[in-house]
Amino acid sequence: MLSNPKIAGTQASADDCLCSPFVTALDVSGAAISVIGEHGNQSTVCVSGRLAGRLDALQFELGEGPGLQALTTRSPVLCSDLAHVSDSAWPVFLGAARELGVGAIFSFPMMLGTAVVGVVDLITTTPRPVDAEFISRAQALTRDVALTAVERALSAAQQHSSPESDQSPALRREVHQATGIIISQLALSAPDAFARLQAHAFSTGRSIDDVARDIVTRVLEFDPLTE
Amino acid sequence: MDGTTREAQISAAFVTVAETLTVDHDLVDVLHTFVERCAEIVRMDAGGLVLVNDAGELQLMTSTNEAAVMLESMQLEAAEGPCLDCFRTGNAVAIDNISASEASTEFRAAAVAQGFNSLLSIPMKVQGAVIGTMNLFRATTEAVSSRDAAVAQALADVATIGITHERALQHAHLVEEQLHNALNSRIAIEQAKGVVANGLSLSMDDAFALLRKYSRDCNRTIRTTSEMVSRREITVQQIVEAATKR
Repeated sequence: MLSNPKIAGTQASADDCLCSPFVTALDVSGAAISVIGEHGNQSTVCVSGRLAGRLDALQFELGEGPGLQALTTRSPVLCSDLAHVSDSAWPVFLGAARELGVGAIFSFPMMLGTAVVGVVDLITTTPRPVDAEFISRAQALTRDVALTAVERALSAAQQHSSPESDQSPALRREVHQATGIIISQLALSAPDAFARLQAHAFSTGRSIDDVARDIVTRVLEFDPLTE
Repeated sequence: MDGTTREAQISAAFVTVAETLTVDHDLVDVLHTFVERCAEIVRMDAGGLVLVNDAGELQLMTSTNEAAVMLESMQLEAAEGPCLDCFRTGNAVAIDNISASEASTEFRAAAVAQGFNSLLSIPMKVQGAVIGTMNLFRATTEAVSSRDAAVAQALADVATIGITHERALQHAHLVEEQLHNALNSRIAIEQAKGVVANGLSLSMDDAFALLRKYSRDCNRTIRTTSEMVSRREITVQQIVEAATKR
């Protein structure tokens, strides 16, 4: 179970939170750090604050957003004012982020050597112009955190059960379990089952984590006859 | 050798090292060419390069000929000799007449037997730490000029940067691979738990226990089993049957 983001956020010590250097040094409202698997599977290592957590989850749910763009292009994605973004590569995410009250979002790819291993998303609730210094500081902090972020994700992934919270890697075990249940219920491949889960969350306006939990607890079932 | 030729040679050696910074190359090949060129530039006849490996031991990476291999291996085995002195002190060692030098009797005998009478050993340093040495040998007795020693050191410094860079990249790729493996494995296992839990009306924990038992019985990793389950290559029924048979 995911613990309540607010409680988890206040309980974690400053040393524990990999996001806090970003929030402190760059004066942003929130940060989220994710690592990325071979097929673009995103695992959240750390988020600071509820809003950053929601935006991070949103990109995972929608399969689009500035973080994913930063991963693909291997360069920072800088949106100083979400209200004035036009022609975005992530229209659905943009609308949802505006609705959540996000003013600006900045995504920095996290590299180890030449490999892209993850992404850091920074958000502010108001528009936020940035200069070269902001960018270079954010990039330096991203470099500093890369290995630790990967190590945390590695050790969490190697444990067969580990509690997930804002400060510990959210490997979204329930989402993958729910995908397995849908594979079984609808006789689908894993990518198709996951797409079905995404579609259900999107069409009902709920988070993918919530829908997954309902599937795992058998509150929600997919029936091959009605699907 | 005229100045122009020498300059061209030095540039070529630098280019060789710069190759280590690009993607497609074999480090040992690059180092081999590099040592050959360095030897040429400072007019030595043979050379080799030893580096500290992951286990902290000195390892012969490359040598330009068999005689150099012999002389370096001999020092590594004996854990003594001018090249090791260079490694331990971090200072270059130049010997213009090996027979008349203070080196051990064994080393002097070995060097002369391999046809070497003078040498230059250059430390390879990263932020003060010595990661290896480049050792150059000459058949004749001849003093190494301070200019040649300086050129050799400059070339070794550049090679050191290349080697360090290469090692960091290798480490990064290793970590990336581990990450991908761990994440893929975790996803496959959780998906398989879902498939089994749904198919047999089990809890996630019991589904996992069954997957683990089945994997053990079939002598497969749980990841392999899980991938087969989530790709529907084996059915839940097959897992149950295998479990009840035993």
